[in-house]
Amino acid sequence: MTLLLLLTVPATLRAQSWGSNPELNALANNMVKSLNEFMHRFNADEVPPFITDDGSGNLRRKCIVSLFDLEQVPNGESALADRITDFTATAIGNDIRLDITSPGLYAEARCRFSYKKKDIMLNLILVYENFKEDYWCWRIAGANGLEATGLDTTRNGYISPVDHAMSFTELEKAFPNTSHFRSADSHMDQLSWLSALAQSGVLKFEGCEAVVYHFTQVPGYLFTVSMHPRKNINTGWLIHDLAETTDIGKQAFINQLLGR
Amino acid sequence: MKKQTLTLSLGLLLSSTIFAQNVNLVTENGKLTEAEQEEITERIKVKIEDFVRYQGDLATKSPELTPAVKNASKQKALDLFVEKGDPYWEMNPITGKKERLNSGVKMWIIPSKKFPEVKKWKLMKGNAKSVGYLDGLIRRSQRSDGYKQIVIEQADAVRVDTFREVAPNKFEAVAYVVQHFCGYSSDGFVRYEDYTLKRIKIYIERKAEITPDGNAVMVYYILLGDIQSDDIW
Repeated sequence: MTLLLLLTVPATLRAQSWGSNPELNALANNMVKSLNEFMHRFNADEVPPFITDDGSGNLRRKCIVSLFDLEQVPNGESALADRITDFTATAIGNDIRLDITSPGLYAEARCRFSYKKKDIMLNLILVYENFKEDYWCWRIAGANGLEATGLDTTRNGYISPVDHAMSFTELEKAFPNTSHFRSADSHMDQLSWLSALAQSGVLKFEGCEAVVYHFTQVPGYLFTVSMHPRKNINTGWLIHDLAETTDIGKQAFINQLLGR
Repeated sequence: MKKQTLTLSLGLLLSSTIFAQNVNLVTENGKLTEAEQEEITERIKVKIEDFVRYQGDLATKSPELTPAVKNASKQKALDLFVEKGDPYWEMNPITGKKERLNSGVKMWIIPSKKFPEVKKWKLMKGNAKSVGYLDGLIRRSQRSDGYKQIVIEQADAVRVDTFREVAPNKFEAVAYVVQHFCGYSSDGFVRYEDYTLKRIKIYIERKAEITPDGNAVMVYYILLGDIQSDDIW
């Protein structure tokens, strides 16, 4: 009975179509839809349909430039355009190929938490990790933004130099703000702080609002990829932030990202 | 010819969830070959097409699609998903144990300026506490909200990314589809339209099975999971 009914319903009433809208097909083909597609285009393993290989050897350069969020390059502003040019030459000159399993990629998940009945935003940093044979998973490597929970890492705590003789009676001062009393050699990272708060039930995960990816593999540069959905050819996962930096600067950025 | 007949017989006996393939295509280390990935991608595209067609059935305001027809489409849509939309246990491949009871496959709807009251996650199949996404489509089709006709278009290109083995012969991937939704008023004007990028989690399980004739074939079970949606415009 149901089959007969389906056969009698005019097709137009269902109003579905697949692949018959050229504008929609073009939007889908132009868009960098995933991180994987971003990396393949960066490596020129895939070429977007709006780029042609004229045999001049510039194919990879064109592919990389197309991955920038070009709406942030103001007309007549040459500094960023020059930086893009230099970055592209460095990436190609050093034959940097991106892969999700290579070190140097950090995913930053911008998350909403409930803390003491208030909504706050914290960032979790994840890395791709091999846990056995050829099996991979994402794992949390760090966190930042924990100042919103009252985390204060200034080391201005003071315990008397003679308190050892008094069985450290001044230790009471170190609670609850133990972080103020850390020695210079001690290491306190924001992920540990977050874990403790979550374990105690004070901090509750509500959801991930957005994801960006930080890449550190290109010598002398850091860049961040984020989603820019638009109805034109410059759309999808694109490079929004590009910074020139030294190795020391790169490590400082990573430490700050990981909340160390 | 005999092998083709056997393969076709398997196809008729089993649902569109699976397809069978010559076992020789499997590589030694168990990874999906390019040929397997291409075939699986085509099967995934068919399943997504099916889901979108059923979505349209549920959303259409045509009185000729009766509640009985709509319910049949809803069930066929649910058949495409993990555990048919019911709650399911998530396994931890590191420990090999059950980790969490997932409440069921969900559709992610990002709140927009136009519809700020729309919640972020909706279960595909409802339960005692909430109306599911598919039932919500049926209810909306029965309201007089000004849409005379709804048109849903998909771009031809379906990208399926990152086939990753998560356990022996079990794989996960994500499919990306660009969709255009348009609602027309009774006088033929566009009342609402949007372009979205849909990200669909895909679960694949590969099993070697013996046919009644004693031949070994590799059978692929493909199911859809959560669907996330990004507004493009």
